[in-house]
Amino acid sequence: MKALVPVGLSALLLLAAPSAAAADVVFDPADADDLAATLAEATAAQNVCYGWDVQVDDAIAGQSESVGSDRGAGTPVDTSSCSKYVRLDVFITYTSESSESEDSASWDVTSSSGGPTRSDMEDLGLDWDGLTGENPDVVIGNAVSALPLLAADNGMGEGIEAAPATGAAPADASLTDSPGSDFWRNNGTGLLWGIGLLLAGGLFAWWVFRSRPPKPRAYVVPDTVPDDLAPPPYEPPTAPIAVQPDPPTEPVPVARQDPADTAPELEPEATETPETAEKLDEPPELDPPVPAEPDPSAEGAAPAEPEAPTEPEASAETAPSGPAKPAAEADPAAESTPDRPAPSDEDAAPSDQKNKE
Amino acid sequence: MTFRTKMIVAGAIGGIGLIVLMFAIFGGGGIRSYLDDNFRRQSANGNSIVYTSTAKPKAVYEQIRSARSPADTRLDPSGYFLRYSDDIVAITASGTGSRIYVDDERRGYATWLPFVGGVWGTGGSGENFRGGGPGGGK
Repeated sequence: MKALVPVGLSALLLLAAPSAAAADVVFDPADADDLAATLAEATAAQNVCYGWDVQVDDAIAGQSESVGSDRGAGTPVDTSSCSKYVRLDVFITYTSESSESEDSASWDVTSSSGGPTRSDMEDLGLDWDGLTGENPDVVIGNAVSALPLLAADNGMGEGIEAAPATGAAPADASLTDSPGSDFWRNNGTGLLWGIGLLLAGGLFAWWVFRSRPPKPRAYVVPDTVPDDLAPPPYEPPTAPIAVQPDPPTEPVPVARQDPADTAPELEPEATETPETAEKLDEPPELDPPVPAEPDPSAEGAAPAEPEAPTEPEASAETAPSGPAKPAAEADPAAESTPDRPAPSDEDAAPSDQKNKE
Repeated sequence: MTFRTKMIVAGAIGGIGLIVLMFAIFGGGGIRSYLDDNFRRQSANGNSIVYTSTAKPKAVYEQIRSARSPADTRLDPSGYFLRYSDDIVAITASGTGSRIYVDDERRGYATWLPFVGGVWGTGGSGENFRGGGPGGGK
């Protein structure tokens, strides 16, 4: 009987002793042990203590905790004896199915002076949303395994070099779960944005065209004039329009008219017809100046000729001497209008100008 | 806004979309071309190539991950392991710098089996972190 007492006490002590791996709320026992062993190797290489502390608040199962360190699963990191330590702290809250609140989680990195911080862990780009997913142990295990990497990056310890395996892989070693296309993973967002912007630009252009106010209707000029709008056919005048010939170059008192009165009659646009145009092209036939009635005082003298046939240059104006003198004296223009002043240059200018035309 | 201005805006939107589309299609190569362009090659054995960098492993990991997003990442005290569709990249410490390994997926899985075995495939000793836990998420 006395021999059974120690055995029974030992059994009770074994049952009462906390089996951390078995009671772990996050990891499978084997996973927790493997994780603790990995941390132990890192501690041996870097002389830095590592651990994790996961608090779980379940609305149904109540509160529970998962702890572990380089000293083993279920054993918290020894912050009192380790001068350098890094620990991952995680808090997960599971709400009941009937609750309107969502599951939530938070995490932090606790370390000794100069150790890694939460910011360093965030740089690794881990999927922390997975803490409230179906497999939080994957996220936590990955994060705890990264603690030695962060410590080495911060200078707490030396980096651990991974040695590639040189031997043959086990026969059953093979990859599973296709990782998907690298192209779509890296360029899918850009492709979607590009296609979206192209469609947006095209739709916007289409909308602009559709919403554009109608342009005012342009007048269409037909190639032919309708019959009802066609002017009557042109009928040339039966009688040619008389064209007033230009006055002679020399002032003729009898034919002299006011330039304002003669101008309309000499408008070529108003009087030009096919027939008259030909006439206008030809030198106008000037009517010989009507000789004025000879002055009785000049009777007996030779009648004044407009131009001397033999000596056209020897006019009375340029050669007053000699035999032309009498002709000059018998100039009808000068003799017939003695009371009128001789035409000045201004008066003669319109006639000269018209002759030039 | 006039009709001409609207059409210019539409053209600008479409032009930007076209540029983004062209850049997405032709802008980037695979992980191997990126490593070739940005790191110094140390040795090669078939499809297995080793590069070196003077930067620390964490900096190299962040650089590669931001440039070419991996399908999955596995972290271990010994290094960073990135899985791509056809390749596996491992970044580990080497003195004060880093050493970068790239292998095709089959050879890479066999080479790094102690670190990624049981996570990305079968075999190996590590069947850890393959799910489980409370599973109370909703």
